[in-house]
Amino acid sequence: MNMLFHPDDATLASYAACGVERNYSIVLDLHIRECRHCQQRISDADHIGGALLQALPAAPLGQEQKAAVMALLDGIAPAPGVKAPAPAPEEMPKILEVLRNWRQADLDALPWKPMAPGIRRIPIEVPQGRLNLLRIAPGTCLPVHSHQGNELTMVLRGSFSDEIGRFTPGNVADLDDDVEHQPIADRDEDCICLVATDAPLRFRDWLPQLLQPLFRL
Amino acid sequence: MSPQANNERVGDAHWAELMARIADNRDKNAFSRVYDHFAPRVKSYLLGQGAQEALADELLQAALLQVWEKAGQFNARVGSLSTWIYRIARNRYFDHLRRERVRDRPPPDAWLQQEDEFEREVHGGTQTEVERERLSVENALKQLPSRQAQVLYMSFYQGKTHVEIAGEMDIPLGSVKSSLRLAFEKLRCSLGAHL
Ligand SMILES: [Zn+2]
Repeated sequence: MNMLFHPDDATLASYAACGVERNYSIVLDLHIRECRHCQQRISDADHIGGALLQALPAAPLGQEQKAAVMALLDGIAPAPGVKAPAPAPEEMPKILEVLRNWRQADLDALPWKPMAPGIRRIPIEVPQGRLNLLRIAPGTCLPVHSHQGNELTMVLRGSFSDEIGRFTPGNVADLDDDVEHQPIADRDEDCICLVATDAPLRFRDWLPQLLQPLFRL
Repeated sequence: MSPQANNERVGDAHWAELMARIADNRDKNAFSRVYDHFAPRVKSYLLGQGAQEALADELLQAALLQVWEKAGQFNARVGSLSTWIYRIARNRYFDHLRRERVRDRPPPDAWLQQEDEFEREVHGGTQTEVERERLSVENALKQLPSRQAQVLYMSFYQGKTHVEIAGEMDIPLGSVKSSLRLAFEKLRCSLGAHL
C-alpha cells in the first residue's frame, strides 16, 4: 500500500519501544501492517535499541546465577531454524476483531449512535486513553478543535481534508496539542475514521463547554 | 581465549560465529561468552524499565535461555546480535506486564513475521556492514544534545509515553515529540549512511 500520511517518527519510535498506550497502538497496528515505510521505521528503531543495549553499562551479576542458567542448558532442545508460528490472536472484544479486518468488514452493520448533526460514533473500551469510531456525513465540517495531548486518526472509509491535506483510507493524521485543525468530510460518501486521543477533544465554536461531558469523545 | 576477552568490544562477525556454534554444536563455551557480554546489559535494561531485582533476574534468565534455544533463528546478515537480544528482552518484559495485567502494551510483533525477508531486502547487509552500522549508531548516540538523549533514553529504556516524559521533564508534549523525532532522525541517518 502506498500511503501519503504516516504517524510521526516520534510516535513510531515510541510504538517500537512499547511506549504508547493501547488506544494508540490499536490504530498504529492497523496502519503499520499495510505500510512498508513504517515497517522500515520500526525496524530502524529496533536497530537503534540494539545499539543502545550495547552501550548500556553492565549490571553486576552473580556467578551462581550464571551457573543456574548453564545447568539448565542440557534440558532445552534447540528450536528448529525457522520462526515459530505467531501465537493465536488474543481474546479481544468483537469490535477490535472487526477493526483488524477493516477493509473487508461490514462497517455499516456496527451499532452507530448519533452524536451531533452529521456525526455518529461508537466508543471503544480501552484500558488507557480514548478510542472512538466516528462516522461523518459527506460535506460535514467538524468544528475547529485543538486537543489536550495527542490525537491519532486513521481513515477507514471515504476521506476527509484539513489544512494538511486529503486523508484517504489507511492514512493517518498524527497531531499534538500545538495543532488546531478543522477537518471536513469529503463530499462523495460518509467518512469513517478511528480516532485515539489522550483526553476528550475540546471543541470551540460548536458545543458550549458545559455540554462537553455529554459528548465525551 | 582468555576470560578477559569477554569484556572487550568484539566484532559482530565474532558474535555470529559464536551463535553458529551454539546453533550447530550446542557449544556451551560459546554460549558462556554470549552470556557474559549480554546478560549484564539485559539486566541493566530490565532494571531501567523499572523491574525489581528478582523479576529482572527471572526475565534475564528466560531471555538468555531463549538465546540458547533459538540460536538457529539468529541471522547475522539482517542485524546485529545486540538488536536480536534487545527484541527478546523487550518482548519478554512487556509480555510479562500484560500477563500480570500491569500494563497493556503489546510489543510490535503483528507484522514481524515478514520482517526477515524485509530487512534483507532493505539492508542487503553483509556482516561488516551490519557492524559498521552499529558502530555508527553508537557514535551518533554520543553526539546527541542532552535533551534529545534524555528523551530517547526515557522512551527506549524506560518505556515511557510522550505524555509521561512531558510530565517528568516538565516540558510541553510538542517538545518531547520534536526532541524524539530529531534524535531518531539522527540515529536513523547513521544507520542509513552505509546503504
Ligand atoms: Zn506508514
